[in-house]
Amino acid sequence: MELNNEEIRRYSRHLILPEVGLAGQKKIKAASVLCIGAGGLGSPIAMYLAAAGIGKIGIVDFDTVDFSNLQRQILHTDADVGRSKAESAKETIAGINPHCEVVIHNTRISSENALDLIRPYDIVVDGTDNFPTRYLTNDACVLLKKPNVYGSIFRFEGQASVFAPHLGGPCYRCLYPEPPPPGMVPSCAEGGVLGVLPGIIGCIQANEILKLALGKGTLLTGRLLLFNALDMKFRELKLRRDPACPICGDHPTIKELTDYETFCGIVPEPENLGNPDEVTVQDMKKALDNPSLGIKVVDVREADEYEIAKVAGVPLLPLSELQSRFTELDPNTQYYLHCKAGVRSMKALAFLRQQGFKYVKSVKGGITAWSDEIDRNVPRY
Amino acid sequence: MDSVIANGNPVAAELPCSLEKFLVAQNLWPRSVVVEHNGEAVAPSEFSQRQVRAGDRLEIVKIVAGG
Repeated sequence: MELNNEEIRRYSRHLILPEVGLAGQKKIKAASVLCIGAGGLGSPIAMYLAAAGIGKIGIVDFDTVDFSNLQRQILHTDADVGRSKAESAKETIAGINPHCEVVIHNTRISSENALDLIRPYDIVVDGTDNFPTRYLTNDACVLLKKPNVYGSIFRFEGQASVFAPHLGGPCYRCLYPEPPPPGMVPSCAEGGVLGVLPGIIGCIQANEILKLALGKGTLLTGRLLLFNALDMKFRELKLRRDPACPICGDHPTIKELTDYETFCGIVPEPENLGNPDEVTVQDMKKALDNPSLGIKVVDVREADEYEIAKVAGVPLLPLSELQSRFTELDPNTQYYLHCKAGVRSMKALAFLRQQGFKYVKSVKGGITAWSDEIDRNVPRY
Repeated sequence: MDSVIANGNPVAAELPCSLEKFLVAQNLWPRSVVVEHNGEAVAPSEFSQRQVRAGDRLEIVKIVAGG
């Protein structure tokens, strides 16, 4: 592994660091990193690693760029909306450093392909946005003995660690042996995220990757670094490997990859056989167009969301106030509840059922589906 | 009621009790939180045996998945 004159000029600020030097820069160039997800976290990770001289970066993402990604996913530009994220990422990285080899995997990582995707790389970085993929990434990395550089974000808070039981320290399952029930932890699409937050957490992940490549410094193994952007505070929790961990413990029960959607409680909906508690946005339109049906539609999102987008004629009763205000509703009236995408309206439905409301339904897909299928003038957010 | 210091704030609870019970009483899903108890890491498999007493310090972090 040699550096040419152009590379020596490019990496000069590294080369004069005694902790990096020529030998260290060659180690960085020899390293290969698989970045799972080219979104909020994947953006700064891939861009900084490319700039720093990582020799080979793999990008796994099956998704396309959406307008709502641009507030934080700096790999992609306005002109990339609608394009494959993996291809857009490759182009951006090539623009930063043509010496970096980029391999794109325009596919969904799954139990079938995860081991083959990860095997050729030295280091894996988790920039995914959902529980099934996080458990899958963890298990595949433990089985293949690859360090898994972890980061996750929500609203104003971020977490980072390095999971590498083979180097000492715990894995993701030692911290969180089981995923929370579906719907309990909102996604960034439901709960929001500050645009710079993935920038900060992703840079911490990139930093740990460079240290892994260099073999220098103290890694985040055995520690969970927490960041709060509102308070501008970092704190740290000690972690330990759980001897009872089902994958990296003393008597592992998981020896191969399983079905992570089922493990996370995500049950595929049978075709044409919807949830009996749900109605469609078309049903909601019928109810609004025909008051004689006696069906009332209620929006259970929060007030600031109502300000961004609302359906004319639908009153607001936020889920956060439902407990104290449900008496404003009539338990014998038929209600269709809607939120942004259909998760919170199901929670509101469950609560109202407990209070004796018999005729409550949740609008599948919420106002997002309304915007897509009924009225494009209602902004999607 | 006795209390512990959780994430820097006093939290009232029926003490002593197991860490598992404490978490459930706080409406937390015990398999989806990371806990440090009096500065020590606690593995989830120890939650049901680990006793929490008045005045103990807990740091509790909830799982998030965004990226």
